[in-house]
Amino acid sequence: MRASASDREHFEEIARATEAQETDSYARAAACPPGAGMLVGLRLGLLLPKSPAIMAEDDARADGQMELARRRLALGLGLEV
Amino acid sequence: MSTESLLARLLAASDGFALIGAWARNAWAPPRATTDLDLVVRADAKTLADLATVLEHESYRAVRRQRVAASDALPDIEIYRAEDEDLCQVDLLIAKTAFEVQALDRALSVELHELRLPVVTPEDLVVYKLLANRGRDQDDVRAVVRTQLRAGRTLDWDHIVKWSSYWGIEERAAALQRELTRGA
Repeated sequence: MRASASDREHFEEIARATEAQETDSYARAAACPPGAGMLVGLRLGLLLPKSPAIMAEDDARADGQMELARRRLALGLGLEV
Repeated sequence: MSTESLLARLLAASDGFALIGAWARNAWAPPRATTDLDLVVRADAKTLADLATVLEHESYRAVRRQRVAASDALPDIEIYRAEDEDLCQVDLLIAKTAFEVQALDRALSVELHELRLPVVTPEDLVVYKLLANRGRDQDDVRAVVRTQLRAGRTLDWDHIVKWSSYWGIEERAAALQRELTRGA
């Protein structure tokens, strides 16, 4: 069984709508002062429940930051350029 | 305490840090929810102690201190947590490389009501994100670049390429530039 032309058209339409939505969000962010974006992010964060999953995600991000430290060591990088 | 009060106290305690991570992302791209605060911090014991004093005074407690080299005097990362605060986690990333030091030096001042917050530049944020390179980081990079271009700001690609090369990830910067040039 294969996707029909109308199936493909349906998904292409979704892709176009998603892209238009992204473009719109970039335009709105571009017109917004940087501090306002930071406040929105904070307010959105306050709406999230402080569940173990959220805390685990914060932890995972910290693990990602350790990648920088591991690479520093592996490449022998320091404060000199 | 409110997040803005916490930021004000951190600023009063030290000028040796800048915002990175989601806060910087939200300054330079469409915002998304954030529950933590990531700071790149000058690698000196006094700066670290001054920030720790503020955090501990505001009921944050250190839950992780990690260093990749046991011989280092300072940790690579310190994580503070206060589950009852609006921001439940604050990560201090200690600047031990030339890249991080210049990111601190070039940080831009962003107004948040009465505060002037030092935030790493879009270019330095892109390098941080290229380095972490998880799915979300890749999305963040595209969002930052596309928003800045949309705002009519010129991104300094030479800077991104220079510091990507420093980290040995120049192919990621090149791939990003190719992708965005194709999409332009």
